[in-house]
Amino acid sequence: MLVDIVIAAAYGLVLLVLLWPTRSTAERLLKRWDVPDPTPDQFEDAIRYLRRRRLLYPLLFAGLAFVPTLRGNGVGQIAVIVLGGTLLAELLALRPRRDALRVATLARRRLLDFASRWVLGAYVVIVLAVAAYLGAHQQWNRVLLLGLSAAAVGVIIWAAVVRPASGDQVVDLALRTRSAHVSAGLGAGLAGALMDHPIGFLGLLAWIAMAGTTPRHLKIRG
Amino acid sequence: MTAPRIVVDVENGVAPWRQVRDQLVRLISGGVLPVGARLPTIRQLAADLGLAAGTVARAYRELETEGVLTTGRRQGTVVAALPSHAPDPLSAAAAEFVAIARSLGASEGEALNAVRARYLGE
Repeated sequence: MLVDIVIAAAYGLVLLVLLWPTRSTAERLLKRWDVPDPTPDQFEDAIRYLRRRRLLYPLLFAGLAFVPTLRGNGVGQIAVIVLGGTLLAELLALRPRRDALRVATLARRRLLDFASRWVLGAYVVIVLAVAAYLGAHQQWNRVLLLGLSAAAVGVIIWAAVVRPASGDQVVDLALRTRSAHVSAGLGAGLAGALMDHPIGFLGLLAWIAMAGTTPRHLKIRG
Repeated sequence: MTAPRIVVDVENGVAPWRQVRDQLVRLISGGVLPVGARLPTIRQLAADLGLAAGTVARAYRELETEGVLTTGRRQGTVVAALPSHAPDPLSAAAAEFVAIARSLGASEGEALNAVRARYLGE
C-alpha cells in the first residue's frame, strides 16, 4: 500500500513539473478566458491561480490510491485529481483577507453574471441522466461517487461566487468563470467515466466543450 | 470599463463602516454611481473587504436612513437619491485626522498644535 502511495505521489509530482505554470501558460489561459492583452500584474494573478491548484496534484494522486474504484480509470482518475485540486484551492481561497488595505469592486456578483447557463444546465442534465442509468443498473457505489462529485462541483461553483475578490478585477472574474466551467466539465467527464459504457465517452466530450466555453461578454464588467 | 471600487484601510483609525459609507457618498455625489445603480450584497462586499457583515450593513443602513440607498427584496440594494449634502473633503480629512489623533491619545490642543506646526513648517 505504501509503495502504491509513493508511486502515485511521484506520478503527481511528474505531472506537476510538466504542468508547472509559466508566463506563457498564463498568457494562454488569460487569452482563452477573454483577457486578450494581459498586463504583468494580470500574468501574476493567473500564474498564482494555476500554481495554487497544481501544487496539490502530488497530494491528490497519493490520496487517490485509497479509492480503488477509480484507480487505473484514466479519464475518471484525472477528473478526480483536477476536481480535487480545484475544490481544495477554491476552499482555501475562501479565507478572509488579513492585509490592512482592502479593495472591493462595487459590482454585484451572481453566478449567471459570469458563468454560462448552458454549461451549468448541461451539467445538471448529464448528472441526472447518469444517476438514472446507474440506478437502473443498481450500481449504488457509483451513484454514491457521482453524488460526491456533484457535491464537489456544487461547492466549487458556490465558492467561485462567494470567495473574496483578489487581484485584478477582470482576471478575477475570468478565473471565477474558469473555475465554474472547468469544474462542471470535470464533473461531466467523471460522470461519463462512471457509466462504464461507450456512451460515457460523451462525458469526456462534454468536459472539453464546457472547459472551452467562454461567455462572449462578462456582464459583470459593467 | 471597470466597476467603481471601494478601498478600506483597517489601520487608519477611521471606523471601516464610516470609510465604506463616506466612499459610497462620494461615488454617488460624483455621479460614478447614478440613481438606480445596484450595489453588491452586504455579504459580498463584506467578504471582498474582509470585514464583518454587520460592518457593511451599518454603512448601508446609515445611507438607507438618509434616503440615499433603498433595499428591496428583488432588486437588492440600489442607489435611490443623491445625498442631500455632499461631504466637504476638508471636513472628511479632519474627521480622519481626529480619529487617528484620538487613537494615539492626543488631546485637542496637542492635535491642533501638530496641525499648526505642519502649516508653519510648509
